[in-house]
Amino acid sequence: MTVCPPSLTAGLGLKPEHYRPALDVRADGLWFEIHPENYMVDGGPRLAWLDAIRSEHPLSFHGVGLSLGGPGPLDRDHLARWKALVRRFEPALVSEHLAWSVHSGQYFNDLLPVPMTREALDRFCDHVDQMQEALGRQVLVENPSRYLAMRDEIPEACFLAETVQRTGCGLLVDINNIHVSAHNLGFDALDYLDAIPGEAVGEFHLAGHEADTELGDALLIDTHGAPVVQPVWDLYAKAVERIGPRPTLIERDNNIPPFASLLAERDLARTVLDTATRPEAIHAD
Amino acid sequence: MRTDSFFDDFAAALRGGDAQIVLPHLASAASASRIAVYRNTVVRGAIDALRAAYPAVERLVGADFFSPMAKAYWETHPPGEPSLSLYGAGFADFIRSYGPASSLPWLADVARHDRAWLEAHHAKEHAILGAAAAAAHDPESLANLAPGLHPSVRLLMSGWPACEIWRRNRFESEPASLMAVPGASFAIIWRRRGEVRHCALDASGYAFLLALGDGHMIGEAANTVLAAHENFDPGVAFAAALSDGILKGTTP
Repeated sequence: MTVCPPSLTAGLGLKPEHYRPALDVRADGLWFEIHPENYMVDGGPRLAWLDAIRSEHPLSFHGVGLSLGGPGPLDRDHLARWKALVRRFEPALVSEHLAWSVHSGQYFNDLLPVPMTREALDRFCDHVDQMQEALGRQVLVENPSRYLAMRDEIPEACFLAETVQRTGCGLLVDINNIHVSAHNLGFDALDYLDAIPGEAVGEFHLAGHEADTELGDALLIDTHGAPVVQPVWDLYAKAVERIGPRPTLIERDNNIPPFASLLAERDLARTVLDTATRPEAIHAD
Repeated sequence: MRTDSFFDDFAAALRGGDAQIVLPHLASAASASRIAVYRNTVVRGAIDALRAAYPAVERLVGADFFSPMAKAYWETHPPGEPSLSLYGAGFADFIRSYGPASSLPWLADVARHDRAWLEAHHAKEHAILGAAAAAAHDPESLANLAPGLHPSVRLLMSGWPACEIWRRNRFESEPASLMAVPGASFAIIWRRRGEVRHCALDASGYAFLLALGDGHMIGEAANTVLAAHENFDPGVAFAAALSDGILKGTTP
């Protein structure tokens, strides 16, 4: 059974308004995740803060703009900037998405849906290979939040499992995304968890979601703007039980609460991980 | 299903085209309305990035005016980089030609100040020329020095009191009156010790720094400015540039 590296337990997304408390806080196994795109600048305080925080806490780099699931070739300049940041900050974890965001040179700042076809799988694997080769390390890829039922040829969990097999990448399993997608598309979240190759999972994400302002409860949106809800905590506990404890992020990008509130939410994830790591829990596997 | 046509059709819908074009790629027709979820996220993200980059402009015109203006900018100038940290380089020029803003002729210049602040904030690090390093030169070699400006320095000129309007709307609780009268103004925005600063200049101080920025030697720049502005005091201007960390130094 794989367990968390002792240095990484539950982490938090790093927000500029929390730079000071993030630098000062001391909590066992705490780490911080950033979007490298926000640090692709020439200089200035943002990079200086990240340097300082890196000297106190491990980092995770979670990309949102490489468009691994997209049609075009990967943006070489963007990949070069990625590489420079990885070299400078030596993050403990590196991840990107099963999504696309670039078309004909235009960047759409969202994680857009990829049709689960054989053709898309070939291209996605090719792009994951290129990213891992450029960075010289394993990358974790994250399952998307889905709002649209498309004409898929392969179930998403199998699409990801095959990507792992072909490229040697790992997985970042976003528990909230599974919950949201299962609700929106009508599949069983536990079946999905069972189809994921557990040994490939290197990180979990937890976040809040909200009902769509126009369509209501029929459509849940992955807003990262609210606390994690109980059904997602329950699904997380099952994931940790089935897959094992892994570094777990509390993701919050909107309606950002005080740092102390995020730390308290992080402690809840820490408790779940601690329970699973205790020897008496391991024999259940 | 052909995957490529899916991406083309989906991108067209995101750009504002009819979402029905995506229908053949979906498992159910009901899903078409959900494409709006993606489009809203994309448009809101671009508007939010511009709002964060142009706070003085937004305060001057209000959110109800700013949002459609930002959306119109996104439609004609979508981001090409997969990062929005420096998105909006052409926003000031866009504002200048944006019809609904024509009654605010200084708005584009205020936008230039917001943009200068953002660029100074994210500019490359570089050593500065300080008073001690300058004092190590004899007067003649100092006059022949062409230090150039720190990479964060942005010099601004306006036919309106744009710096003052910008300063009051960006940093003060009392916004400036909209009744601005034409009149030349000059300003510098730069980063010093991790903090972006700004300062109004007079025409001669502006011309001196502009010449240094163009790579001219200090003595040559001073003489050129003196020829046009007889009250210019090169000693005072140079000392201020040294103490404010505006000039490029050679030590790491």
